[in-house]
Amino acid sequence: MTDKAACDRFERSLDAYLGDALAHREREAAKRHASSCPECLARLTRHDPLARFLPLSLETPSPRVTEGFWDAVRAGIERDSGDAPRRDTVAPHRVSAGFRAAFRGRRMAPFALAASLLVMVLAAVFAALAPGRIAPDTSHVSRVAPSPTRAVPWSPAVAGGSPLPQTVENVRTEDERDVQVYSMTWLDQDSAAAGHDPSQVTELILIVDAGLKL
Amino acid sequence: MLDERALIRLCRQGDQRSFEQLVALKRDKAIRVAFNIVGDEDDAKDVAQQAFIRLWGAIRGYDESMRFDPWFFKIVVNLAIDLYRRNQKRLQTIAESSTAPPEAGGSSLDAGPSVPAADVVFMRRELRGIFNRLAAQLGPAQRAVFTLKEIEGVETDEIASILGIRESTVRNHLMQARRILREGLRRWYPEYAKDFTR
Repeated sequence: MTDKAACDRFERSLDAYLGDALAHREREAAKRHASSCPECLARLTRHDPLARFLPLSLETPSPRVTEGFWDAVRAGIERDSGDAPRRDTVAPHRVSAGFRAAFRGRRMAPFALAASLLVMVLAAVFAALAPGRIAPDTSHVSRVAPSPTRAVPWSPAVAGGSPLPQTVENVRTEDERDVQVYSMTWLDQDSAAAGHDPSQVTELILIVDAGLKL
Repeated sequence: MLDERALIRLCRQGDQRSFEQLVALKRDKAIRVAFNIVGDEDDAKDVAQQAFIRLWGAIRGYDESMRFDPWFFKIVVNLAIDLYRRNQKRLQTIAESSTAPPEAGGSSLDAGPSVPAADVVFMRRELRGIFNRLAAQLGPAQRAVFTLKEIEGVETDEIASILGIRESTVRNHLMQARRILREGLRRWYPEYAKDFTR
């Protein structure tokens, strides 16, 4: 809709506008009018073709863009502000998350990462050589003050089987040395496909202590 | 609805309902400014959302004696420029890969005295495509300055503050941006520049 008085004002100020002699407020008022008045915009673009872009200032985002906008902002805020507490808590879904997810999240302690890599490599070797129970003689190891069971990240692609729970225990030997015992089990692909069969479960126990004689 | 100053004060106290209202108040302009810099509506939406998320984290430190818009739009513009820089190579490749734009090259924009209102809507849509194509020739700072000065009507000193550059540099970017856009209009859209060349 055009306003005759506003058009007249615009016409009178056009020379000053083009000569950049208007104060900022007057210049912006002239631009706002031209943006919404095709006649005055046409007058202006005869002198300045870039004035054709003035109506872009009246654009509003499409509903596709504004739909769910606040929900996304709120989710982003909650995600950002929720980072710190989650770092100290092992949520259930984190325990069962795969190796890649744990690695990407950088929530795994370096020691646990190194140890689990070692365990996985050895597990793959043992699995290839001898299916069935593989366990060292641990009769001389007294299990005292075991730590709560923790999950060890596991990559089925490395071991070639279906993952089952793994544990780590802090153990003190008879000669008073503290070691860590990693235990893990898995099913081979065929057994896993057929359903869980305990007789087909392969178990590996690994005692991590460079000085320990098995 | 509370006025802007009161809303901001409540936001600084951690009131998320007030923040929702503040987002509603600033959303369209934030998306529009970002859109004029990044040239893609979805990217503009991402930029604006990210800006509001950052705003929530920073608003407690906002000095209420300062004007809010320049302070907030500094976040929007800088995020948009960062994204535009990342996308610029791709955008330039698209812009340089053809000599005439397929979607708008054969069209003519007649902004004469008897343009019906329905055509104005169509013209704006067409105008948006032309601006995006021509603005792809601009550097990030030139594009941001042109958007803020010519489209949003922000004063030169505020633009300098938003972009962290001197006012003389703002004027220089504006001059360069206008020259590049004018040349682009003449080259690719002579129908749009014909009045100017008479």
